[in-house]
Amino acid sequence: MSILAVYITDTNGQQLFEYPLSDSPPTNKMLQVALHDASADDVVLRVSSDELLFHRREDTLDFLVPCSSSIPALIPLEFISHLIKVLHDYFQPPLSRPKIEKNYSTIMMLLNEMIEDGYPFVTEENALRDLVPFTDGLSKYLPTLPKGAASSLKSLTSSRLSSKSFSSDSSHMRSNVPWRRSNVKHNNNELYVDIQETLSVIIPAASPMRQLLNSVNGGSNLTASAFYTPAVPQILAEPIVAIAHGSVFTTTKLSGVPDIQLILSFGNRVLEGPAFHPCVRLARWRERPGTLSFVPPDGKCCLLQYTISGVESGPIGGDLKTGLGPMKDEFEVRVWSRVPRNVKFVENLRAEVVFDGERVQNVKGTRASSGEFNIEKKGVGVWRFPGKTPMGWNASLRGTMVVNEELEAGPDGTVPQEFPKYIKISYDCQGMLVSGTKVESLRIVSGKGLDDRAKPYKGVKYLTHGKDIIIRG
Amino acid sequence: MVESLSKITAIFETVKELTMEAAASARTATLGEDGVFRQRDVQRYLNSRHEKEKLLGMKAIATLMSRGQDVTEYFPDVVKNSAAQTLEVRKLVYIYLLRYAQQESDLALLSINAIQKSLSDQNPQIRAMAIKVLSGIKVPSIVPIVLLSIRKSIVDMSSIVRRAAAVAIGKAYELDKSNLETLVGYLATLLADKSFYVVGSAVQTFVNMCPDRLDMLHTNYRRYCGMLADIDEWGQVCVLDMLTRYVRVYVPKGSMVKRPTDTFYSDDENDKEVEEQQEDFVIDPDLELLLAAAKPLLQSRNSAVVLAVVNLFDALVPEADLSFLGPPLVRLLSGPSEIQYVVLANIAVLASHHNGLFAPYLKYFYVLPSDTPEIAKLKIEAMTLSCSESTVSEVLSELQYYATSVDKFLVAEAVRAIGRCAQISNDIARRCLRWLLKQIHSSDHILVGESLTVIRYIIQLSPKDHIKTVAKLAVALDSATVPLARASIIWLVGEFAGIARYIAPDVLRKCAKGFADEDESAKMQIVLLAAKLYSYYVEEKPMPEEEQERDEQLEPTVKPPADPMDLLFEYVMLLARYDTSYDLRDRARLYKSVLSNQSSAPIAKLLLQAPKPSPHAPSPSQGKENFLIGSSGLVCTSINDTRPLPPWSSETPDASIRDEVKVEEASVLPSLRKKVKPAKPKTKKATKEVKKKKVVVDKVKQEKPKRVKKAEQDYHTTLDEFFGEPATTSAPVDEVVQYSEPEEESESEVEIVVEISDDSDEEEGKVDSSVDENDDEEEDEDEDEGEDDDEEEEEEEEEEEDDDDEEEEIDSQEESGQSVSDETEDEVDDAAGRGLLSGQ
Repeated sequence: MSILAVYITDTNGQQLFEYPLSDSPPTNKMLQVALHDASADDVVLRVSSDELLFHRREDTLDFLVPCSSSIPALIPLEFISHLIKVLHDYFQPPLSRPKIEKNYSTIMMLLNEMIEDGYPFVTEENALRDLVPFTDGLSKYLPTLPKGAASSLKSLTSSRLSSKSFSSDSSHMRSNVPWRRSNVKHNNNELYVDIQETLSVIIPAASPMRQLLNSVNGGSNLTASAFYTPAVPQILAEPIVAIAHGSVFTTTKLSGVPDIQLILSFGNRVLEGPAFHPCVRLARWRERPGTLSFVPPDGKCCLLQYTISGVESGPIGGDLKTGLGPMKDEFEVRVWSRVPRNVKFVENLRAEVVFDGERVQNVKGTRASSGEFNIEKKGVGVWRFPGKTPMGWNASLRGTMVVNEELEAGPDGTVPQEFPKYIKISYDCQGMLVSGTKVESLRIVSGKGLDDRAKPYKGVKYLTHGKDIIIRG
Repeated sequence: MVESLSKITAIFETVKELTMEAAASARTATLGEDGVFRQRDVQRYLNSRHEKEKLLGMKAIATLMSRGQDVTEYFPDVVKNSAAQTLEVRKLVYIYLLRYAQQESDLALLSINAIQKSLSDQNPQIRAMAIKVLSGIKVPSIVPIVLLSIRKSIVDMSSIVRRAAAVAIGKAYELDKSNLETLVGYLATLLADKSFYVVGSAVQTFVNMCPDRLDMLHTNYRRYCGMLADIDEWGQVCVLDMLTRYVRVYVPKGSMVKRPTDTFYSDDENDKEVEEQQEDFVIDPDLELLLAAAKPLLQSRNSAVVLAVVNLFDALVPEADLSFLGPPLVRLLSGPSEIQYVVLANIAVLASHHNGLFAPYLKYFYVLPSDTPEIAKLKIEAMTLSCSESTVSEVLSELQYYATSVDKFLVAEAVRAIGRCAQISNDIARRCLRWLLKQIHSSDHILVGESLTVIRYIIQLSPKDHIKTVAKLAVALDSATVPLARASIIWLVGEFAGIARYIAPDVLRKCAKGFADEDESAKMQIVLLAAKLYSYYVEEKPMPEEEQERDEQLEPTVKPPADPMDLLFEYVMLLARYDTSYDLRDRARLYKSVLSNQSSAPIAKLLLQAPKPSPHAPSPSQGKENFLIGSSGLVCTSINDTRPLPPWSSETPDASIRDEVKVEEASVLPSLRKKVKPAKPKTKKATKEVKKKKVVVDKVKQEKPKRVKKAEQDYHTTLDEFFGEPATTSAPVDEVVQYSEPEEESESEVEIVVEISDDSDEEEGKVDSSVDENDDEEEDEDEDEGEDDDEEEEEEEEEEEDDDDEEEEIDSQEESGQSVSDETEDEVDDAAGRGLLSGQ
């Protein structure tokens, strides 16, 4: 079971980087043929009876990893994830063609450490920082560069190099903590905790009873306002699915070997199968769930991933009404933000109105109380609200779907009126988490090598990313 | 004055250097700036005296290599830099060598010397790099050097080097497979390494090199269980896989026994329920140890580890309550879509043979618009497999939503899933049918086609119960517009003509009227329906045979038969006869000739009334159960899956073979005895060991004599520790006594150990295999020594004959000698890290 090669290509399949690991791995050309033949969504492609291709697109690059078929399927996929993480750590996201082309030798040395005998070897960013110093010549990063990198820079500038100084390179003083690089030094000591939750919600179609109620309301309000109907209560139906995937990130810029304790409270919610970074002491967590005790890697790392189901449906609500207006052919989409709690605004709010692109030709007579509505692709109209959207706000959108006339009529001889199938809302909301997760305390328990007088700056940030808020019509 | 002058000179010196640097960098700035590297320029940089220029030259080479260009022409220039002082240059040279040495093996040999020197570098990182490169250079002529280097590296102080050696063993095997036995011997040492850092890689090499030698793991099994949490994530995947295999071969299977076990999964306090439910399930303590060690790994952030653990539980204790596997798997559904896909494929397989495992997590399988079609399909399958009678209505309404959605790929999948749900019970089947019948009028062709397929399937499961359904279908035919739907309905009506007699003729009558306007597929079915009906009719017709025969043969179209069935059949056949389609005409002719002759009635019956097998509507993942959870075969079936799990062995050796404590003591104790006694074999062994080193060194002539002395010293110090050891291990010895028979207590400790092995011998039937393998191993090791040591071969052999009965002790002693020394060396290295980790 082994990885045969690593290729990085652009999205057109043009090869940017190759790193063969066996004598005659499948070439990029062969892989492109396999990719071309397969449907776009195949994750694992068969190249030959004992060769497989695993691939993933990140930013504007394709990562292709052909493997022998006996490899467990997730090894190459996880390896690609690690590789991307490492490349992000070295070259900052987003990755791009020029970044790859400028850093061939570094990427090559990274892969040399990351794969041994066709199997992932050292994949921790911090350990790699010790092994492959990144010498981009960017002097502004020098103070934060690991000592290994700094000294190898020095070794470059000094022409009188004794072999002794070479072998006393810092790298042999391997850090005792496998995930933390050795001799970390920072001028400003900082510690940040970011908790992000990605929210998926499905709100079912309104029951016929509610639909009736809505149409009555819509009808009666027609005279009152052509735009929106503030009189209708903003009640979000009970979601059938409300799942939050959470990640706790720490960004550590602390000298020496700090030992940190972070206590989280999840209310009374159950975490479904939490996953931890190897640095977290699991015994402590078992003793007192919510306690994360760890020696962090330097820089950013994902300490904990969790999933909670049955969360609240988030700060943004919406609904979809159909069959309104004198001809009963109008629809109305409403979006509102809830009364403020501890957040002031949401960002990047948008609502996609999805309809049957085959049957609907156009949407006419759209009236939006705010924001901009455009048909962006077949079957999808996007309603955007640029900038920040305050809390306690609402907006509505009315329109009529124009049905394609070439369609055959239904049994009753008329072409039925089309309405949006569902609304998909997405947004970012800083300062709150839908699961109600909170940081109770964050403290540095001990810090070997950390100056006692240094008062590290500590920061905590929450972000809810509403990814799929689906309101079915 | 003199001082200041020297100062000034020094300053000039630095200034000069700086200028040189600046000049160099000014020159280098142009190298490859336009993306083109001229060979002459690159060569000049590679041959430069300045490290910085060398680095730039190597970077140019790296760029060319990464672009996929052939850079073998630079070989001589690159090899010169294999002793470069800058680490970065050296690393790049090594990478170059690893890729191209094969093609220029003669030139590559030039670098071997420099690399070998690095093997004795102070810096373990450099030693590790050296062993890595040495084993990676694919030049067969250096195999002896590689073997020697590995031999040296496996006892290195630093775990980094030993880990590199573990990988090197695998590569050396690839290079020359004839050295398997030697390498297996080396690997055995590393498999017994104290450092979890080394074990992960050693096991990886084991899996690639000699996966069938599971017997090598006996004494390591319990230790691995203990260190599992500390091994790196990639190593964990290998170790879990290998331990799963080991258990299948050497550990008795868990069985249902009427006796409560209170220690099952005892490490997790949350699982009290599990304990109560599993009271009757008894498993071997060794298996229990592994399960307890593997379970926390479900919290790994690496999805490959999670699936390896799931596979372990699925393969070893499928009977147990595995409900705790659900949460970690559904949590992985938050990952990138590729990982989601693989995880879902595994969930589908698990759900199909562990009913209800994912029942509480149905919500996680609801399809989101952002899911790719592949993921959506698997989600629907997982949802369908996980639903039970209590949750089916929830699932059905969700599936019905998908079936009417805009996304075409979802429609077909959802309708098929509804068909699978219908199998749960008759009530549900009826409910599904009701809904499906409504869909026939849909304008969505896919929905209609799939619905009819599923209707047919449901009817065929129990035709007698669904006569009404056939009638409903016949009614639906009046309003169905989609040709495919019409064709399917007509076929269905014809198929059930035998049980729903009164429906079919009427349907045929209606269809015959509008025959000309039908689509060809529907016409085909009408003709078939007519033929089927007529065959039933002919069968039961009371008419005298001959008359009928003559009538048909002579003028079938002229003389109108009295029965409307005859009329109808003739009419349809006529319609078909003048149709534009060849196929239709041919079929009509066939049916007509078969049915016109009473003597061919049996053939007609066979042809037209053959009972159709119930259509098989398996879950898409069916048939994947043979693949291991997490394997690639499960997500991409058309490949060779070469590593099936070994079957459970019915007879397993005694658990004492895994007794690691005992083995360590066994090795210590003989040495005690040998010290007290004349102890011939012992000392012989020791000197042999030293001599051997000398001989090998002489042969290769690379090592300085000083090194040899050091090696000797090393050896002696470890021996000393060795002898010092028994004093501290006296306590565990008591434990050994406890295990043995009471009457043996008076005898010496050594014999107790022997006694234990005798015990296992007595159970020959059971132990047979393991004993044999142990013998093999010993022989192997002896052979190894022979190979390394030409001069002493004969002598050794004689000795070995003498020592025959003590062989076992010697071997184990040798092993422990290494492990003891490893331990002490490691302690410094890993103590801190372990301390931190042990907190977990």
